[in-house]
Amino acid sequence: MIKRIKEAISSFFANIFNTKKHIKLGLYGPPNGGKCLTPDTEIILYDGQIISVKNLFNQIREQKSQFPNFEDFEEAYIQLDDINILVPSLDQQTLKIVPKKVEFVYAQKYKGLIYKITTKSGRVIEGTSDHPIITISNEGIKRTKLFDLNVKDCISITSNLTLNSNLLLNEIKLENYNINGSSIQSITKYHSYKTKAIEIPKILDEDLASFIGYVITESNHVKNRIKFTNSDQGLLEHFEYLTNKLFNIKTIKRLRENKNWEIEINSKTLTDYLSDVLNFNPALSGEKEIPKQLMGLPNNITSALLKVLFDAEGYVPKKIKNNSTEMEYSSKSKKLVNQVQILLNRFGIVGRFKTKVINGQNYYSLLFAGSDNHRLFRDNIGFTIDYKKERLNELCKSGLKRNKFYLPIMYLLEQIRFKENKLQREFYLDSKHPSRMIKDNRITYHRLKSMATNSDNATINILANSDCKWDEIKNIETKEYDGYVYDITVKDTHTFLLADGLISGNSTLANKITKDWLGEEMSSVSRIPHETREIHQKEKVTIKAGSKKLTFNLIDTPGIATKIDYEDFMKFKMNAKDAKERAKEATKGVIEAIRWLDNMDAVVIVLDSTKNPYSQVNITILGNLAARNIPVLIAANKIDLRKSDVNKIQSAFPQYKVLGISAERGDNIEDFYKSLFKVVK
Amino acid sequence: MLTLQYIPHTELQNMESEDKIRKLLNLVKSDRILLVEGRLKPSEETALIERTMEMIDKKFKGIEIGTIYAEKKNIQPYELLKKQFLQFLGYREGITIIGPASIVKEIKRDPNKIELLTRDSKRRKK
Repeated sequence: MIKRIKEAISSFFANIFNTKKHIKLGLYGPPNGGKCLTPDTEIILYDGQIISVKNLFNQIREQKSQFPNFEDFEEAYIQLDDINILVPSLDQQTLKIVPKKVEFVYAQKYKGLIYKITTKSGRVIEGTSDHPIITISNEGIKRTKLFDLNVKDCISITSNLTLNSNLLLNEIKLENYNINGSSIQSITKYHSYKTKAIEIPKILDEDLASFIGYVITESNHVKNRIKFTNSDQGLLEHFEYLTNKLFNIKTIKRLRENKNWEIEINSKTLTDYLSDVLNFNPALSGEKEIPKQLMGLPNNITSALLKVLFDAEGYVPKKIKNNSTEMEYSSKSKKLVNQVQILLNRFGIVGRFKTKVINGQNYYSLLFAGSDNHRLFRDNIGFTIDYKKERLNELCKSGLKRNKFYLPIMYLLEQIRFKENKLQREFYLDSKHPSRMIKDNRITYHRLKSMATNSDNATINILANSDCKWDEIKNIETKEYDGYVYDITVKDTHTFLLADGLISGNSTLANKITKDWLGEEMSSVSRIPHETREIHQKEKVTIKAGSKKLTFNLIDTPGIATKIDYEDFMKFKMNAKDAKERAKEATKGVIEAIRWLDNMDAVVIVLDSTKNPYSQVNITILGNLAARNIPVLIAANKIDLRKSDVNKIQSAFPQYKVLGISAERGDNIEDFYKSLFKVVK
Repeated sequence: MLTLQYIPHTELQNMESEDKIRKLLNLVKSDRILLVEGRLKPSEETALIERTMEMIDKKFKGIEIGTIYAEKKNIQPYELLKKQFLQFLGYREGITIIGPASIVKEIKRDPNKIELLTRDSKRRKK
């Protein structure tokens, strides 16, 4: 008989682990909604590239060819290991932007609400309810989930950003060119078509940056020709001069029907060369962009590029109407406008974004007000065109004070003032405005900066010299979403920058897994109890850490309850009919969770380590699982809290492996993995 | 007023699981708090929850269940055999408390102590 039992047990385990099907891992505990961004969200990499989170994920997936290349997946984490991708990241302690390594990329299928947050300066973030961003208030600086944000809350955007790209140009692809000394000539398929030879520059300097700037803004750039059109003779001459100097190409100058002058460069070699070396390709006006290698160059070269862009597409108002008179840069390409803002960030200039529709087409603008911004532009960039130069000087002289950005921290500052025992006059260096500032709970950067020169207080100094500004939320929208969502994990600082400069928090890998699998609290997609009312089977969930990899089907259950009161739902502004309907669905979910017990190959049970282990309902299933020899891992969550007592849980279930974790802080996740690998293998 | 009803092991031991669960739930639905001698089998406990869920409606909000029994940590081999034999006959050790959720707010359990928190009677009448 003993032999038969042994055989039965071994065949049971053999069935689990030898079958080609993925094992089914049951999760009993309240689940959660993940923390992610929508696929088109673009982020800034430290080398100057702007890339959508989706493309970044797919790029890494392709590079990690050992990673299963499945088409349709529920959820995947990829550790970057040796792939070195840096992103600019805000250090929450120093408020400085520093380069940090991306550790993981992540994608998951998601069905539910997406939050779209729009700030006063036109910056936007779209993500799941749990996705964190950095906020400031009288309580200080903290991470806040999109779900918890309110209109008028202030969130961080970048104000000083220096990216880092290579000054040396890439080598040309030798097989594509005939090389004769320092000149090159494209090899074409057709013998009859002879391309002109051109000289090529060695490094990226001010001249090449200016040339690229002209081609981006005012040129018709096609496969074998570049045509530059403008009414300003100075710009035309400069473009002609640069073309001759850099590439030794003769240009054709002609007057167009609209009386604008046009300079034409007929050179397939030049367009091939720009494409090969800088990845600078012909693009429609709505898709124009600055090559990534030009996004992180030294100040003088960045200035040369910006000067050309603003000469061509910048606008300075003729008359100063009021305090909010703004300079403007407009383009049909949203990406180009974002890039211009990133380049201006290098000099500390921060503007606002606006979209306008002209003749049915979208135009994107970056506008910046305030004489401090205008002076920064004049002193670091400036114009070549005389009338723009004069108008800018007028703006700088007029002392426009309009400031879009402020800090809502007056109660915090008042506390510091009381501690330092200073009078308002001494502390704020002003006796006229403080009472108004306190009433409105806002202080400008300008004032904070002057206070910092007079104070040793660390908080004031860090805030005044930070690399970010705080932008007020103007609008919060939600919409239903069904598709993939993505996220990245950044080492140490756990923040990264979106293309428009909004600073996003990332969730740590640990948080992601524990939140999504183990659920720290009731789902925050909605805080309504029993929000997950049905079983979610996530197929082919793959986790990879170090050299180990595990693919399984995750059965996300609503957990098991012994009571469901429809009146509990009514506390969440639900009418009686809906509440009853929801309660009915919840009861079905519990029944299904119980029935699924029979199908599990292994189970993770989440218990709250701050609560009495004997009182938690999910333990009901433990005896059941033990009777069926189903491997169990108990995760004792919330070990970051003082009340937590993992030993109490372990002594309540001595026969099981109990692992203390913190979903909030991500503690012990490596051990959790190891235990999970042990339990299922 | 609270009604506590004691159910000795003998009353349940010869019943099929399904009947046992039906009996217990019918008593709980009539607003009684049951003190059941011994424990339900794990499969019976989950089946009890399953049936409870099926019965939930406007009036019946579910149950609270708590079990208390002394578990020795270092069991001698012969004791283990004895225990398994007794388990074969039925889980007679310990005591199980089952009450309607509309009356019992929470059952707090420690290895050797059990606390029953009841709801405010005014609220219950609502």
